[in-house]
Amino acid sequence: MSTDVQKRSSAAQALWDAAATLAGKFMTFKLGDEEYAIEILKVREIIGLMEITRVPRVSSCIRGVINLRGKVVPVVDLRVKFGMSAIAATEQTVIIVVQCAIGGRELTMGILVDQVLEVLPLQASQIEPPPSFGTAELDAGFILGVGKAEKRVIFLLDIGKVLSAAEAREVAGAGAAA
Amino acid sequence: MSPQPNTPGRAPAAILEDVASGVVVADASDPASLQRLSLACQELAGAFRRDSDKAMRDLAEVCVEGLARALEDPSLAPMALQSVNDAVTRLQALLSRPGAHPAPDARARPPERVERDADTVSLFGDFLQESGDGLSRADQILMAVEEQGANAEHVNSLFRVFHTIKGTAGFLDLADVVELAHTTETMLNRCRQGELKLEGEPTDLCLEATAVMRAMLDAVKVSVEQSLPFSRAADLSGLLGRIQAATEGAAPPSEGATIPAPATATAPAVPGPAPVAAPATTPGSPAPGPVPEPRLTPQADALTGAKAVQPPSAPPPASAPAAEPEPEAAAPAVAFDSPAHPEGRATAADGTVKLKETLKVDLERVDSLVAMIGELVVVESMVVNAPEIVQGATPRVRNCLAQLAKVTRDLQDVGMRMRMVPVSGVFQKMARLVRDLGRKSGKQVRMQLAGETTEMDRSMVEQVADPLVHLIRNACDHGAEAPEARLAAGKPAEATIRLSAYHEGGSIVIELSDDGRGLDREAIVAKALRQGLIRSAEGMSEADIDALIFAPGFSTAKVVTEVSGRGVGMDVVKRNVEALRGRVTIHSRPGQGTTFKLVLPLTLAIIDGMLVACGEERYIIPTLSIVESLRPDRQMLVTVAQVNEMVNLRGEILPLLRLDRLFGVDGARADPTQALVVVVEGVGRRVGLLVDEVVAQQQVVIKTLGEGLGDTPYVAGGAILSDGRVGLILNVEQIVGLSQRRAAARPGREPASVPSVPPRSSANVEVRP
Repeated sequence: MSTDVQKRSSAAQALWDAAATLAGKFMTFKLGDEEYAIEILKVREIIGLMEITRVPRVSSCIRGVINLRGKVVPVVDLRVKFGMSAIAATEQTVIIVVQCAIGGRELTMGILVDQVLEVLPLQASQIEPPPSFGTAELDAGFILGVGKAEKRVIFLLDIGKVLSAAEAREVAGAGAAA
Repeated sequence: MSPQPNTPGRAPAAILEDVASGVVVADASDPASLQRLSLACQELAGAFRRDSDKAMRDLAEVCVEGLARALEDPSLAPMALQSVNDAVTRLQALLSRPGAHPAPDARARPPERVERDADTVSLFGDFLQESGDGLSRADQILMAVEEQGANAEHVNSLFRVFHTIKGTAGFLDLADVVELAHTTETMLNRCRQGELKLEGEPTDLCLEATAVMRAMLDAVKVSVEQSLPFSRAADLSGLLGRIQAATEGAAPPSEGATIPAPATATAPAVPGPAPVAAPATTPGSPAPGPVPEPRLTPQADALTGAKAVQPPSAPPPASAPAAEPEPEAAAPAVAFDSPAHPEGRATAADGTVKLKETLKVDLERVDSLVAMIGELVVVESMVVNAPEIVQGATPRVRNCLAQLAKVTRDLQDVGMRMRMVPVSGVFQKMARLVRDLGRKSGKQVRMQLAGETTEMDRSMVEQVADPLVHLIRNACDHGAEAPEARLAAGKPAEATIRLSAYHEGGSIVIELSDDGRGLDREAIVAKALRQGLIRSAEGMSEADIDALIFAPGFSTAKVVTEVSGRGVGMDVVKRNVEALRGRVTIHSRPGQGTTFKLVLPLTLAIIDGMLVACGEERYIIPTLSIVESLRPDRQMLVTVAQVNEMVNLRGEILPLLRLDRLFGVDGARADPTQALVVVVEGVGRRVGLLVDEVVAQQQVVIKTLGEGLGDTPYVAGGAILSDGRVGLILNVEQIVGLSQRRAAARPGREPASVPSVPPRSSANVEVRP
C-alpha cells in the first residue's frame, strides 16, 4: 500500500485522502448485480414495499409517494435513475428511507432498491476515490468512492446528490414541457 | 390547603387563598375535605368580622352555612361547592378592588363598572398574553445578562419587549404602563447607543421594572375581568425616578439599588393593585413617603410571603410625589366607546369577564402530534377492517370498535384544528382600526364583519394582518367619502366597509369592500403614462388599469393618491400577499365602491374533498371547486375539429378534460357516457373533468408531497386516505387554466402544450413536514 501512495501525484493524493475520510459504516444494497452503499447515518429506516401513489407528470425516476406514518414521502426508483431496466418487484424489494440536508433543506426520501444486504464497516484503507468513467452514462458525481470488502466492489453513493439531481431533472423536464 | 384554623390575625386575603385552593381540591363525596373547607370558611368569616366588612362577611357566612348543610346531606355537596366557588370569586374581586380592603372607607363607594365590548376584551386578552410572554423573555435575558454580561442582541431584545408593550398599552389607554415602559425603554435606548452599560444598576432596574410591570398587568387583567375601571398604580414615581436617574447617568447615591429588590424578586403572583404597591417597600428606593401604605404591607406580605422591608429613612427627593394613591387618579374611568357590535358584550351576566387563556406550544410538538394522530387513524382503520376481526367479532367487540372509531375521529378532528385559528382576532382588530380611523378623519364609517369563524393556519393569520391594515387605511382615508359628499351622491352618510372571509375552491378568500367612490381610472392611467409604466391606455381593460395601482413606485406618487384615492403601499400589499403565495384582485365600480379580494392558499388546512376514481388511481377534488357532477348523454357531447371535446351543459359549452389522458392513467373508462363529468370551477372559469366515478366524500388534511419532488403540475398536495394510501389533491385552478390555454383538448398522453403555470402558484400547497 505504501508504495502505491508514493507513486501518486499530489492531486490524486488529495482524492485518496478525501476518500479515506469516508471510513465508517455503510448500508449496502443491490441494484441488479451491482452493489451500492449509503452512509448509515443518512438511513432512517428500511420499509417493505408498500403501495406507492403515482404522481403524474414528474420525472420517470420518481415512482410516486408513500404514506410514511402520516407523512408523505417521495420514492425514487434507483434502477430507473441509474438507467437500468425496471423490473417487477420481488420479495426482497425494499424502500430505504434516507434523510439528508441539501442546500439547507432537510430532505426525506425513499429509494427503491432490489435488495438490502448488510451494514458494512469500511476502513479508510478499504476505500478508493471514484474511478473516472470517461464518457460513462452515469454521472460519476454520484459516487463518493469505491469500497472494497473481500472480493466485492461497492460503490459508495452520495445520496444527497442523487436525490437533488432527481429533483433538478424533474424541474428541468417540467420547464421544457412548458 | 393547609388546615390552619384559628390562626389569629391572618390576613383575609391569605385565608381566602386557602379557601380558594380548598374548593379546587375538595371532593364532594369526601366529607373530610368538606370539613376542612368549612373550617377555612369559618376562619374567613371571622376575619371579615374583625374587619367589620359586612358584604364580605355575609358572603363567607353563606359558604359556612352551605357547607354545614352539605355535611349533613351529601347530595347537596356539589351545589355547596359551586356556591363556595362563586363566593370565592366574588370575594377575590372585592378584595382586589382598589382600596376596597383593607381600607374600610372604600366600601362606601360601590365599584364603578366599566362596560367593555367583546373587541376590547379580546384586545386586552391578546395584549396581556403577549406582554406576559415578552416579560418572561425579558427576565430570561436579564438573567443571562447578569451571568454573562450584556451584548447588543440582549439590549435590543429587551428594548423591543418594552417598546412593544408601550405601543399596545398606549393604544389601550393604560397610561401608567406606558409611562413605565417608556421610561425603561429610554434607559435601554441609551444602552443601545452605548452611552450606558447594561450591568449593575440598570439591570436591576430592568428586573424591577419587569416585576412591577407584571403586577400592573395582573391588575389590568383583574380590572378587565371584573369590568372595573383601571386603577392607577400609586407609587411608580420612585421606580421611574430611579430609572430616569440611571438613564441620565446620575444614579442616586443609594447603596441598596445594586441589590435586586427583594420585593420584586418575589413578583406578586396575586393580581390586584396591592402588589403593585409592594415594590415601594424596596430597600434603596428613594422612598417617596416615609412609610408606604402600612395596611398594604401585611397583605402583600401574607400573599407573597415576601418580607416587608422597611424603607430606609432616606430623605425623599424633592420631586417625588406622595406615595398615597392620588385620589383623582384612583379611578380614571376608562370609557371605551360604543362597541362595534352592541350585541357582542363580553360581560357575562354576573358581571365578570372571561379573558381567553391560551397556551403556547412549540409548533413542532403540535405537528408531531398531528402526524401521530394520522398514524393512529390509519392503524385504527386497519384494525377495524381486518378480516380476522370483522368475522370473529362479538357484539361486545363491535361495540368497542365503534367506540374506538369515534374517539379516533374526534381526536383527528381536534388534531386537525389545532394549528388553525379563526380569523376573528384579526378581524376584530381591523374593526377597531376602522372605528379609530373614522373618528380621526371625521367620516362616518361602519364596519361589517362576516365569516369570522373561518379558520386559517395560525402563521398565516399573523401575516395577513399587515396587508389588511394597508387596505383598510386606504378604504377609510380615500375610498370612503365625507358624509356630505356621500349624501350628495345619494348614498347614506355612513360609509360601510365590509370584511369577510370564506373558503373558495380550496383557498381562503378575505374580501374587503367599501361603498366609496371607487377607483379613478382616468387618474390612474394619467399617472401611469406620466411615470412611463404604460405607453398608452389603448386596449387596456378596466381590470388591467386597476392592476396598475400594484405597480411598484406607483404608490409613492402623492398626487395620484389624492386624486385616485388609492395607491398607498399597494405594491407592498401585493408583495405581502404573494409572499403567502396568494393573490389580490380588485373589482371597482366608479361611485359604488371597490372590492379587494385576497385569495390565500390553505396551508395545513382541512378541506372537504370528493374522492374520485380514474382508472386505477384515486384523486381528491376540493368539494368547493365542484359545481356539479353528471353522467353526460351522447347528445351533450360536442367535438370541435375532431379532437377538442366539449360538453353542452344546459346551453353552456364547457371544455371536457379527460383526467386519465392528462395524468397518463391506464384503464379509465373511455366512453364519457359510461363515466362521470365533474364540473369544476376555478379563477372564474369552468371545465368538465371526466373521471370514472365518485367514490366518497371526505375531509382531508392537505400535506406537501415532500421536498425533493419539485413542482407537481396539477397537483396541489397529497392527503392520507382512509385506507392509508396517499391520495393526490387536484389543483383545480391549474387544470382550469390548462383548458384556457387551448391545450385542454389535445389528445394523447403528453399534451405538447402544458400551461406555463408559474411554479408555486397560489393553489400550490406547502406544509411543514
